[in-house]
Amino acid sequence: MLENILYALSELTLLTGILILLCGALFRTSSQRFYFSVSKTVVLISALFAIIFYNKNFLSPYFISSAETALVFVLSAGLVVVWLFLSAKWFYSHKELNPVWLCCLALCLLLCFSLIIQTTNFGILFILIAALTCMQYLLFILSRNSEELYHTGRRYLLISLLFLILCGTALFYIKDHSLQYDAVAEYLTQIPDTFRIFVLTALLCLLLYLLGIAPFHFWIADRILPLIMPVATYFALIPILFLWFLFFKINQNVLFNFTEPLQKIYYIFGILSALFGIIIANSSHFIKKTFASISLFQFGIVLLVFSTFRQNVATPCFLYIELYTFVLLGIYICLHAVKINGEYPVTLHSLRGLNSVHPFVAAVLMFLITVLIGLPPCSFFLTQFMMLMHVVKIPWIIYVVLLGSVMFVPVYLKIIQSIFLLPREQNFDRTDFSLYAGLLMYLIILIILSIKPQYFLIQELILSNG
Amino acid sequence: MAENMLLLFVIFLPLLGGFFVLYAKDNEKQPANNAVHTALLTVFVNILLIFGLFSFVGMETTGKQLQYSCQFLSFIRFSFGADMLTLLFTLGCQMAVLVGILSLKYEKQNQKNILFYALLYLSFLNGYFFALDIMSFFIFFTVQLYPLYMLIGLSLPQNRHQNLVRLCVHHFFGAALLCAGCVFILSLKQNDILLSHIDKLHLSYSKSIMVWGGLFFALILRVPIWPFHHALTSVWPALKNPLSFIALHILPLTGIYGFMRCWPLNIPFEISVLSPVFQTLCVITMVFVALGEYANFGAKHKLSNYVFVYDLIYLLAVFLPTDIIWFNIAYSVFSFLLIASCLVVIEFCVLQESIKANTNARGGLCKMPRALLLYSLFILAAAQLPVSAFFSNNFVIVSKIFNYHLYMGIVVVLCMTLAAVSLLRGFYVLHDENCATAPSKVQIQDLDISTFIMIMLFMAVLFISLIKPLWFVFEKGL
Repeated sequence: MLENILYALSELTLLTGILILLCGALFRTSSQRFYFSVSKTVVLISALFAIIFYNKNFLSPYFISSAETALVFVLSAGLVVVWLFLSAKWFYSHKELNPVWLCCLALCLLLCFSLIIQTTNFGILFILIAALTCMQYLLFILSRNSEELYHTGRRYLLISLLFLILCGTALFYIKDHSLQYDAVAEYLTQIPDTFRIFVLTALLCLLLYLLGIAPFHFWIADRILPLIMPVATYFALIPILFLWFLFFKINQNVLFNFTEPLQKIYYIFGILSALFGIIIANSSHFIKKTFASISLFQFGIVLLVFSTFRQNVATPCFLYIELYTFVLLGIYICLHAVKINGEYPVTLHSLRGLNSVHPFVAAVLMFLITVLIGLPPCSFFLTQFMMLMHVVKIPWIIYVVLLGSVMFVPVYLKIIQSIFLLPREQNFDRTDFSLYAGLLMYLIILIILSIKPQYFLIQELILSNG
Repeated sequence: MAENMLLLFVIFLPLLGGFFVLYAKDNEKQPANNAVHTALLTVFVNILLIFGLFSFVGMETTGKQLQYSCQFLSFIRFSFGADMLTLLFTLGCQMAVLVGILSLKYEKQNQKNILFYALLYLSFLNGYFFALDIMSFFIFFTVQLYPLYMLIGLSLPQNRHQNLVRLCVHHFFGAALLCAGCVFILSLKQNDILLSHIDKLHLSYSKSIMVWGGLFFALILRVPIWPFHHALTSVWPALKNPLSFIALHILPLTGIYGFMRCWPLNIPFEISVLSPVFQTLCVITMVFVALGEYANFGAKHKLSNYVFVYDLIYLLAVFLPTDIIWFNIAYSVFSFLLIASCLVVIEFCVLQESIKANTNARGGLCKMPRALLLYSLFILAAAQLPVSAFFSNNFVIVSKIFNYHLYMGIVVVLCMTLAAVSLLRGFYVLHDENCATAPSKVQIQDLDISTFIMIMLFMAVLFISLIKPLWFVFEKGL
């Protein structure tokens, strides 16, 4: 018992953090800073425990912890800390709002994600995903400042419920059998085709819906625009690593017997995502929507590469997603650093002449965009290159990925043009010094990773062994 | 060892200089004067270093003599090297940019940014020329597009930005094809695949098509050959400063250099069937460009079409099944870069003065004796008269084309003649006193003395090269 508690210290810390925050709300602590400081500290301590007990399991065999789950958790915890830091900036400029619910949700979501990646049981996974859906819906509510968003939130909840019911029905039919991943994998080979197709459809729909792969992208890529900045940042950055890790894990542990039919399905979803991403990005003039569609494209190409099911292909795919998230994080820091009359820029047009007022932010933004285009030899390019080297036997995927990237060049150039080549039309506010410092630190890390990608590729060892 | 490290220094010195330029202190009277001087000093030092490198390489055109390599990742090893061919291309580019920087004195806006991106571009160009392995070749091939985009974007009117985006997409498309080729090559698990060894790799039929096809299209997209010419030609005439014009003018030459480095003498069987089609396209484009040059009255248009004609001639020459004229091509390119860049700068000065005087540029040279002297000398060189090594090298190149294919040789000579005649017509318009529209009271400023001396110096380099090519190269030990 005591051993279990010790190994679950990471999760227990998060729970404690939630309790502290609720106590703070109960005793009407008015300081916004308090909530953010507590949340950030709790996340960091939790990450520390995750590192210490990285291979120790609690409630085994329902939760299996390993080096790679710890890695994903620590990386995402880092992202959550930066997200909270950025959200704090937003809340400081909206003094009338209380951030306690956002901080509570942040810790709850992290806890939920931590359990999702560790669990090896479909029953628990189902419950955790249901909880996750509810929490994400609460984020929509937190951000509800327009009629459009109200409908989007409701649609999200309804469709999530539909997929959850579908998945729940499938689980109900196999309830007499063990719901452990390995047992379900074996069970799926023994059941009739019709039932197998039903189970696989239910599972895949839920997973792809959570990932926001086209055509299930409507709830995020299409609707990110009216979300308030902290919520938009959450949807853009935080769930990515956890959900992709879960996707790879289920594919490798449960669906490995069905690679052939899955390959075709993933091809379709991958190409659709890439296509939708290109179309939306090229037609959009809104910053958040543009980057959401870039994410859609990146997810599409990762799905395409992963669909080859070649040995160890998940590792470069995950590294690619991780680095993409890191680059996106930098872009969101830059976006937080730019304000026009107290408001964050919404359209690409509003970034006109940014270079003349905030040259450092503009330079970092430009660097990040060139990294996204595929500036060699930056780490992002190298991970893409490594990923493509795994699919050399299927050349069309390489051409789809590379030519798809070329289709994004006008989008990136449009942003660079706004920032550097067009004259300024509006007044930009002064940037918070801490954001400058954060951006500088971020840039140093990115440059180190570009010069010495070995530091980044160390993770390959951890992930490959897993 | 020291000379090998010198290679890296030549690559990265302009990059370093670029950052110094960005932080150069502004002068109240002449805002970017310090930045211009820093840039000039950087390029000048780089030229001296390249002169130094000349003394370490032999006269052989194939096989790089200086070499430097380092392991980057388990599957990537960067190798750099230089031989006479590389150094001539590099030196030509440095000198062309040096002339371009001189003209920036007349620019009023964004000088620092333009200089920064010009130096960045130069740095990446040097990397591209020195690249020895496929990965570093690809990296510098792609990376040079970023500073080029900014450099052109800063000197292009807003209504032409869409054309610039089209140009970039066009070149990134080429880079993507080359990237695909690199993926196939590096998947063979050899981490130091040199450019000259690509044809020795054992590739399957389909992979061979993808590698060679990717390489071919990536490089050909750089050259303004029909039907890929529009992206470049739509941007070229709208450029407002000579430095960006020169930078863009170098771009097709990088494609030609790429062919000299990667393309085997015997065209791979997989795409050899397309060779006659390609040559026909090249010749037809050249004819149309030369006719266009003749028909057009603007001096700027004439010069850009003239540059196109020569780009296409070099491309045809590179595809001849012999490498004995490569040294001539390199030397001709070196002279060509100098001639074209000096003509662009002088033309720009004339145009600037005519804008100031609120007239058109016709007869503009009449009141600028220094510019007139230089312009007439360079026009003579550009028109293939025996005042520079440009004449002798082109003579060899054309004779080889004749040797290979008589009709193609005839068309090439006709196009060259037409290009030269058109340039002379342009010169006549600029210098004909009867065409001068500026009232005699208007004060027109001639080329400043420093620019005049510098361009004259380049003319001297070209002229002495006629008598003794590579006179500036010293043997090792001297």
